[in-house]
Amino acid sequence: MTRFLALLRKELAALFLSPIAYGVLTMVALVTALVFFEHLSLYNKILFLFQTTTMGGFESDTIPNHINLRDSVFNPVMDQLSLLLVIPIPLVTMRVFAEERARGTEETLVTTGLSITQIVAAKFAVTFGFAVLMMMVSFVYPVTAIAQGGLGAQHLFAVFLGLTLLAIGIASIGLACSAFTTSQIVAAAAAVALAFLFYDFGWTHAFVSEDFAAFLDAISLRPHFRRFAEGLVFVSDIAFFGVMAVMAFVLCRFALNLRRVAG
Amino acid sequence: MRELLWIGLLTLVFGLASIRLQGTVGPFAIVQISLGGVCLAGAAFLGLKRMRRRSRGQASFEPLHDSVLGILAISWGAILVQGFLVSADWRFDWTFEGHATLAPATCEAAAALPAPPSLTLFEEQGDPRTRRTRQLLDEIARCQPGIEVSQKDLDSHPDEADRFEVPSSNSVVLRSGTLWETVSYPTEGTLYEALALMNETDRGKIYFTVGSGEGNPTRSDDLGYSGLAAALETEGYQLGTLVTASIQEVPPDAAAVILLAPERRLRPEAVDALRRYLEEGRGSLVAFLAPCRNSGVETLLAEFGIASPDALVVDPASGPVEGDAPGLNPLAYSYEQHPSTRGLNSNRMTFFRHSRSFKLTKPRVEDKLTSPVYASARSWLYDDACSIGGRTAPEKPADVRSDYHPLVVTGEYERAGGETRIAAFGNVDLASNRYLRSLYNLDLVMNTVHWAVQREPSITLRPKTGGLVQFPVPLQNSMQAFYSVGLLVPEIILLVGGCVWLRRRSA
Repeated sequence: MTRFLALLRKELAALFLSPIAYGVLTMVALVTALVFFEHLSLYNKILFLFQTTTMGGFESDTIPNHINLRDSVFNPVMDQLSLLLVIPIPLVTMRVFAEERARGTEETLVTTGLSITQIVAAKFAVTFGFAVLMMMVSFVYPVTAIAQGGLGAQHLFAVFLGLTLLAIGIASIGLACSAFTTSQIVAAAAAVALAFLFYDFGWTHAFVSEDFAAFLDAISLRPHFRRFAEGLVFVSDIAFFGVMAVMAFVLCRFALNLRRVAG
Repeated sequence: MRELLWIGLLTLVFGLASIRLQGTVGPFAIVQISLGGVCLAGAAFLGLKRMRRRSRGQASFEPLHDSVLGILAISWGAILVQGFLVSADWRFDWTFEGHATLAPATCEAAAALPAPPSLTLFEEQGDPRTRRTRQLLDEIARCQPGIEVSQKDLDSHPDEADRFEVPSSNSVVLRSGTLWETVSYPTEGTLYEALALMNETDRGKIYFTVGSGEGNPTRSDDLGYSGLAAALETEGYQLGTLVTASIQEVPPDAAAVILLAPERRLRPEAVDALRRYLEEGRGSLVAFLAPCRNSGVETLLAEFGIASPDALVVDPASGPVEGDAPGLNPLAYSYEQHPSTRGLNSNRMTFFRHSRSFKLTKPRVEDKLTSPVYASARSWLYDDACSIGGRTAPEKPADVRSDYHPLVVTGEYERAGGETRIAAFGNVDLASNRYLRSLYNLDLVMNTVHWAVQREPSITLRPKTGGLVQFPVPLQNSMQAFYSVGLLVPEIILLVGGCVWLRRRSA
């Protein structure tokens, strides 16, 4: 256990002593704030137009139902944030295994007496922890809208849970990519490409059958996240992201074993 | 080996794509898949051979076997678990007030139809609203087996669109046997109303009294009561009017009479007609009263044990609502067990805008009088109800006691002709167009009417409309806010990151 904790500390230090982590956190916080305040500004303007009787003669009770803080600000911001995660998370995960392999420190890790499973578990724990931190940072501003938007704390928690699970899902893809290569650039590019591919297969619905479209939806990330965004927590959605993490864990373990055996 | 792997994967993908697009397994696909399979097998063979050569005399293959078996076992296990959870459909509705869960009334209306309905969503490609509508329809389909949901393209089905008078994209056609309804703005509320209308149940005739300054059930602005009339019609009642100036007798087909707080005194003949109607057990009365109005109905109710002193309920537990001083508009959340309050609880409040209260005394031992809705324990009665303006709350005199004051009362009376039921509300505004759909007012009013006409099975909770905030966030200029406070979090992270990096460099 002591060795495992030491590895955890080492991984945490490696993550938070590199400028990439802070750069990624800054980027996420900045873009979320920009998107959030832009939507808020647009929402206020639309509401102002509807409420100004001199501009079109609308009265306040004629404002369409879909113009509200939830549908005009919170949901679009969360949707864009979910897409945004596809880029910064692979930037964090790219170094996790690939860097060790490129520097040749992978063998040193194995000789510390820790099992492959423990090594992979430590790296996963730190990466997933960073994903949670990233979501907390990105949530600061949207929460202020919720405080006034009548969305409710439970709904807010559902969205946070969904975003965190989505981040964990993307991080799982990134970790698996990092485990199979020595180049951080290749790991990041492959993870971004795969995450984009699996983000949403909605564009295929126009030219595939309904059954195949349902299958594609079942394996893509966004449909599972969107239900959290709507305040609905399906156990199967939680399991979907859990399965992604477990499969990535097994693949990473396999990659490390393969390296040991095949050289 | 890598070349073989590449050729194998590519030919396999082309072969599968050919089958997918053609819909049949043609010679091209067979050749491609065979070639792909051979190449992949060859690549695997060469790969294994290379690994054996490298590992000869070095490491064992055992960990690799374990990993491969682990991947297979965990993958299959995960797929099975996922499949089970999808079919189990376990979920939690964490939306505010459970907006994503259907109201009981919607499922009950669907179940009451002679045949399970089919729900067809007409759409134009790219209409973003249809996704949420489809989710709603799928939710209704979960109510009972047999409900079919389908989507049709408006351009591809012009005949059907004409037949069912579909006005635009995102419209839903509900069909059950030969009955159908088209809903152009599908929400749970409008779909429920369509389902209720298709039920064609005749629940009797309800009369509104008119002519003495009562609320107008045909007036559609905020001060009118057309919403109440529409809700009664939706739930199967026929409506009629009784002119109090000429009434001699309440019609025999009246299941209930509704009085919407007459401003002027009713003629004695009208009061006598109502008295006979109630005494003979021919039907029911639902009376909405208001402070500072004495129409003679109050005296009639008192004969049935429902006294309503002309005093205003002041409830300090309720804050300032609708611009009035705190306490003048009680928010009720204390309910007694009664059919009219079924489903209501302390989280499902009702809103009374200025209300009087009641005191109950049984006229006969066998009569049953109850108070289903109370103001809070801090409420008290202000006697000079007519002087109150609304902007200032009256001071509570030291000798006046706070108590739970009834806002709604009900009575059941066994009379010669049958059972008479009376329900009295201390306020009429809660049934007006402005407030009927506020909080759970509609449920309280409609369920009380159902109880009064002895239609308890119809008592339910209805879909809620609106409820989302539509006011500007108090930021004069949101982008200005972003340029100031909005940059704070990124700045802090950047500061910490920079310091850590500089320290590390200098170390």
